[in-house]
Amino acid sequence: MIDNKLKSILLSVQKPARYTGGEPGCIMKNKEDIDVHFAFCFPDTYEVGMSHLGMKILYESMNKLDNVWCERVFAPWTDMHEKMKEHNIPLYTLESKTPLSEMDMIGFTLQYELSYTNILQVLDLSGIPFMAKDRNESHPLIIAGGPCTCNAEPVADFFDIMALGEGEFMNSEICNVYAECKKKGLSRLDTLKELAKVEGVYVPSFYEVEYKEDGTIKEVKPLYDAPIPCNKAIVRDFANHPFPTDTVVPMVTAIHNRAMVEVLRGCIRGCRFCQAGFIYRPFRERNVDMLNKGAYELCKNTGYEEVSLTSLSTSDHSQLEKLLDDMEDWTQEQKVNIALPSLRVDNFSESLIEKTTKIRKSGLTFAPEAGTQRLRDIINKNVTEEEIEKTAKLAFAGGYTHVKLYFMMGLPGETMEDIKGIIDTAQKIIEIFWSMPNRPKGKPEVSISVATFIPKPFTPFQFFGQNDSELIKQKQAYLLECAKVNKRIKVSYNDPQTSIIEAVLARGDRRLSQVIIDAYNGGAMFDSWFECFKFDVWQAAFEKNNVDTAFYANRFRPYDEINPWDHINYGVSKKFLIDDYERSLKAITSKPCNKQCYNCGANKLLGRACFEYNKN
Amino acid sequence: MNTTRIKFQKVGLAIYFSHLDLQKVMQRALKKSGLPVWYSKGFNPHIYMTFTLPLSLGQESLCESFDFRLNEELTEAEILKAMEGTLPQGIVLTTAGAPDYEAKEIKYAQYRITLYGDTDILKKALSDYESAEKVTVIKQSKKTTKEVNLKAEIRNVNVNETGENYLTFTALFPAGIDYNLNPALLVEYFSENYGIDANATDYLRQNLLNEKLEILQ
Repeated sequence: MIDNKLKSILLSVQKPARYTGGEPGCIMKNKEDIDVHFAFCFPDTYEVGMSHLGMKILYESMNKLDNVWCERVFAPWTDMHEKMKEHNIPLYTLESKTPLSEMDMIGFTLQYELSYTNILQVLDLSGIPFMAKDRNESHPLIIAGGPCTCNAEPVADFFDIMALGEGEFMNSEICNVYAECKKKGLSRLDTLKELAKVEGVYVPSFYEVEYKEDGTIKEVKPLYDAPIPCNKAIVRDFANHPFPTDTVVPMVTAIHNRAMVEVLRGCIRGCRFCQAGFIYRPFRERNVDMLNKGAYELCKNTGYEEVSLTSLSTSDHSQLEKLLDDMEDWTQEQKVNIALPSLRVDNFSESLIEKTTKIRKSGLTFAPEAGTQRLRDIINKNVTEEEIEKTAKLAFAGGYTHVKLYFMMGLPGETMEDIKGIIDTAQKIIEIFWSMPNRPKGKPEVSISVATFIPKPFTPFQFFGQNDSELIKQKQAYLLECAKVNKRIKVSYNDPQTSIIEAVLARGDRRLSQVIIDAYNGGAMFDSWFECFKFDVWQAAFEKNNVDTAFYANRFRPYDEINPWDHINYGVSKKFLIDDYERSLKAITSKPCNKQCYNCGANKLLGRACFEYNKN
Repeated sequence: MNTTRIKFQKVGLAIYFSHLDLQKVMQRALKKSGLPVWYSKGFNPHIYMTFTLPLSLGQESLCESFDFRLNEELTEAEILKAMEGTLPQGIVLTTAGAPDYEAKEIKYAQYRITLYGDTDILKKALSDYESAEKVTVIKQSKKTTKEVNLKAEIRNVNVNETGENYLTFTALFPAGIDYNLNPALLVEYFSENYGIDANATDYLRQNLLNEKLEILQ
């Protein structure tokens, strides 16, 4: 298992338990008993990956199959990376310590674009060629899943297949089909042809992309009867679909180290900047009894002292208050805290805050996203000034003194007035604090975090050209200037350089694969980690490949242009996205899905209407 | 309320997580076990746990223990049964029952240490050490840095076995609530002076002893 050489290395790096497995809840099987040996890779550190609910869900659902063993692997941190390279130690799975090159399949979850270089790191440490076309029958199949697969064209050449959408059924089906093909002794190509028939499976090499002289796409041609468009897979009966009630509990503290229960999937809000709000459609909520019982089991089986009710917008569950009441019965007795991330400002009720503050009191976070009502209407963040003020009052009355607000800059239709509006909002909240006779002791603090807006595929803003870094820098400088009005306002914003890379990759095409390879070979890795990000390496990679970042990031994309992701169907139609973008230009808001249907198309995946509208 | 001591081994894969991580692991294990564990009263109720003697990351031990309280009286078999399947690989429970000695009685820990490297060099390192009058190393803690004469503190150094590229010896190191000497200090001394790979070393804490050098069981 772990020999002396590896032991010596492990004891010379930070947090060696990242690389050893053996945690409570980890699943051990015999290699002789299985047909499919699957490595599930989260291309970031152990602590980040182990916080991810999707991995827990798929780890459980795949390991339920007797003939499949799904193991875990994470990107070794830079210290371990260097040691493994130096001593020629191949990257191995955590459970059985099998070198990745010996696996049947390696599945990467693509959660954010800035993890792309870590895919190459993992392949590199495993001695597996980067490009799918350079691999042969002896290599594992390399699979991608996760939200970025809605346009993972920049990394498409690295993958044999991509699993679009939700993996609960799809991954198991992929394993079953693969096992069949393996038994029949089918070639790699024939195996891919069989896998392409599985709902949600996209085989990048089965689609040929042709470009025009101006660099835009001329045509995408499917080969071998591959479906066009290629649809994502979903769990139709999500309400009654079980979720993991036992998970691996890490010894090295994960970022979110608690039990997690997914109360709903999708989002009814339609915030126009939010990719998750569109690609996880249609909206489905889980049965409350199942949630309550499952949460109880999960806490019992893991020993966690906190359970988080997660989703894109937990307060949109139609029976959240009932769920909290039901859970109170056992959480108090079992000394388990309930955490409620993703609450919305507009339905953050008094009884809700009471239920949460009973549990823990610290800072409170919410996301107005934009500083003025006009801009909030453009982006369809349907939160009013009054609601923000009401929530601040509730929070202060509930004992909170520290409020954190999330904003974006570089949004469509944004002016300097809107930037000033961010500070005005913060200032207003501070004034509210001082005006309250029942305010808590101490001084208020309002932290403002301002991210650069990045247009993403499958959102109404997918057409919009990102602000260039000059303009973003001007806006950031102006924001700091405005913030001088009150020293209790703390401002932070991200580096515009990472936003450029993210923007290019988000709406990129297959011609970027060589850029990513050159960036990795130049030393780029863990790009989402401030201490690792090397902009100059990326710049050199772009230059070497004659790639103009503005072509991908800053250019408005005409409606009739073929986007790199147009042959993929995540449910929402391009027509809907155009209509909604047009609405945004006129600052017309859309209602939440449960109030009015705008025919985005996601209900076709469900085969029925998302809501019973006559009831509302 | 019954104070209970669980004794366990920390071996194999379990050497790679720290004492702090171990505390959380045990806390969750007790919670998972469903045992009627006593919680502290107050605003933030928590399980009351005391670990007898911390163990460094990278070292194995056969004689670890921690104390906690139970609201009911349970047999050893009942406790051990409830704890089954709650722990990571490499944490092996051995006994459960009333505490048999007090932490302040601990004065020494016996370690078995295996060094890896060229056998002749390993042998020379040990014999040089044994014949030296004084072996001074720097002991650093969070707050202080001081010189320590290993010869005056480490007792009963015994070479048990030498083989191709390894050497195994046992020794007693000061341990307990007042004063501890990590065996890694001795290995680091060998590493600095004889080029031995300190990280490849195997450490096994075998026994805890009192002032009279009697094994505490």
